[in-house]
Amino acid sequence: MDWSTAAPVVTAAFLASLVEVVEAFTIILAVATLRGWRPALAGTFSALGLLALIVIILGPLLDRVPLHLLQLVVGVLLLLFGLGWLRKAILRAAGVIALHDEEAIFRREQAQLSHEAQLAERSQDWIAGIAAFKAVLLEGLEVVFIVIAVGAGRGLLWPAAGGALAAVIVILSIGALIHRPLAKVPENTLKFGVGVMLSAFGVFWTGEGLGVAWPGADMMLVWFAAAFLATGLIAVALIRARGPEVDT
Amino acid sequence: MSILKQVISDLVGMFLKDARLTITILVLVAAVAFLIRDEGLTPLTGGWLLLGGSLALLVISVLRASGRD
Repeated sequence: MDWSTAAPVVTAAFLASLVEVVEAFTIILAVATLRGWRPALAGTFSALGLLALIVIILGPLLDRVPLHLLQLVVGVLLLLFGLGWLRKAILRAAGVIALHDEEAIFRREQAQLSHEAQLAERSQDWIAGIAAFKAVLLEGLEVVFIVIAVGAGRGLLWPAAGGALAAVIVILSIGALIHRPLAKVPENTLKFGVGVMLSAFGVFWTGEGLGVAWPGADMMLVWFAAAFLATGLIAVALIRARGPEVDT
Repeated sequence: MSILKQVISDLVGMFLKDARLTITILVLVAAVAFLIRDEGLTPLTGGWLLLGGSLALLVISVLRASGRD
């Protein structure tokens, strides 16, 4: 494995997964503190099982798709996904929309669970387990997509999956130690960085899918990332200079 | 059933965070593909067009969202 090719893939998978795992962990922790770890873990492992099943069923199909078509489809999806993240991160950094607040999400999820549990007194654990299941499944699907998207174009699925797994281990280790929502994670900065990387991958794969032979091959990813980063920072400065109104 | 609905809605939402940005990006990719395949544009020039177009669309999208364009 060539590390100059694998490093951007592993880094993108790690950072993107870090953001998703933090979001899932907040919900799992809200469930665990309200109803105990049993329903939280039951929901979590059920969702992980379903995710594994999806990967096992869909994974082998990737080998059957012609490489150029795979690069084009994945490239366009990455471009849409990455620019969506970057757009939101720019608007948050510029103060146009409110920052993601894990503490607030934690409290909101607990209030929602308490309300639902009161309505269905007998099935409180079931409702709590479903909440954890949904959170892990939804965030997990995004992780699966990111791993496939950044890894499949160069046959680097396993290194990408390793990056995602490392993110899970990091967040669970920190979470196990502090037992609180990970509010200190600079989530918007991470999302900004991940949006930059995914957008760069998106342009790169889409171009390759259309038959572009990029000069410098994979090294061009670094220049694309620099271009998206500079553009994003200029956009933040432009909006800030004009004085945005915060929209929550 | 509500879980399935939410999963599908979330999956769609992953790629359609902003409908206008999504449509313009798809139009850009289709236009570059057309120019390369049918109009004789060199693939590398098409690639630069794709990069420049994506950056421009991003800036237009955030300026519009901030209500200042």
